[in-house]
Amino acid sequence: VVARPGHSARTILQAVALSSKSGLSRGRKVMLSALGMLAAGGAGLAVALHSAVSASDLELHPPSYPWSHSGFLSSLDHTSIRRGFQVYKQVCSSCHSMDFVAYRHLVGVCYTEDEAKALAAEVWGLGMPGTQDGRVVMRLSVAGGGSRRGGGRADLHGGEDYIFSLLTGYCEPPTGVSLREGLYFNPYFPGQAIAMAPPIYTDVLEFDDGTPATMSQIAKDVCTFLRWASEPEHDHRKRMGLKMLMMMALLVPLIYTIKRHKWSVLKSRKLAYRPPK
Amino acid sequence: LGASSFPYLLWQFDPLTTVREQCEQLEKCVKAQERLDLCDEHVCSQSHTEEDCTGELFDFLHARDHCVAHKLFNNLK
Repeated sequence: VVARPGHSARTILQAVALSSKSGLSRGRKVMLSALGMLAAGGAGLAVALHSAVSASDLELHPPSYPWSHSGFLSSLDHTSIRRGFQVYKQVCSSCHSMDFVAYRHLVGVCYTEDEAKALAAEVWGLGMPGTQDGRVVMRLSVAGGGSRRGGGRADLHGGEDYIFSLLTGYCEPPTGVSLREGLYFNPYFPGQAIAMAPPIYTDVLEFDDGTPATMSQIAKDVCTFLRWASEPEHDHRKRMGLKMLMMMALLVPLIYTIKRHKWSVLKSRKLAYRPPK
Repeated sequence: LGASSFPYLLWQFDPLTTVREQCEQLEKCVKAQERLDLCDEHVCSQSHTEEDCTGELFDFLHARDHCVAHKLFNNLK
């Protein structure tokens, strides 16, 4: 900023106002930080309110269970996946199909290749697994797919917490609530009237590893299996996440330092107004 | 590995039942149960009513769930 002869006092004052160090003033920075915190607080409040029970359309939200695979570095419990598959196959598959999971997908996850072939062979009942080029291609589905009883598709939107709560949550309807024939009361199901009868109870099946098959154990294992089935890349994803974090831990400080170094030239620039003599 | 290595698991005994019983002793659950019982009485005594006790049941279950969720998995494999 250089003032020329003939400039009025007003332009000189403007020039002075424009001559300042680069960057935001302290007041501006404080205001931006406060706005940021307010926005974050508001978002947090919205999340908390969303999970509260609303009066008009009653919905009981399931609690958060401490699944062993919850942490961002935690893999799935593969022994649990194996038991969960047994639950699915022996209890659930009579009504619920799984069109996108094949027996070969279980290899390396919870069964060896020979075990998977043996399982597939059982289904055919002829001792001949469905193989194509030596790979087991039998799919885990009921012929014709879908629910035989026409009960509709299993709603998995709430994840493991929801399914676990649903499976273990069957109880007597409260006073004043009556259900028509064929429906069962379940507080976690939207509308509280579910067509599926309580599917699991203690010892409904036997686990091949001898784990006591209590209702809650069965529910936990089948939920873990479903988590794997819906997200088979789970373990790989978290491994990649760890690698990503490690790389970022190196790159981000480095890039930040370089940026600050380059910009220091401009950020430390000072502009001075020198009135003409 | 079998039932013998888990002191909390006996054949036929579901830890869920035990944990729920423990959690129902908590003050929050006891109070919610009382409100539920009151509601039951109230609705039963009415001859024609649209009321039901779903809300009170939910409050009780919500309180019990929170406690159960903390403890249950410690007793499962």
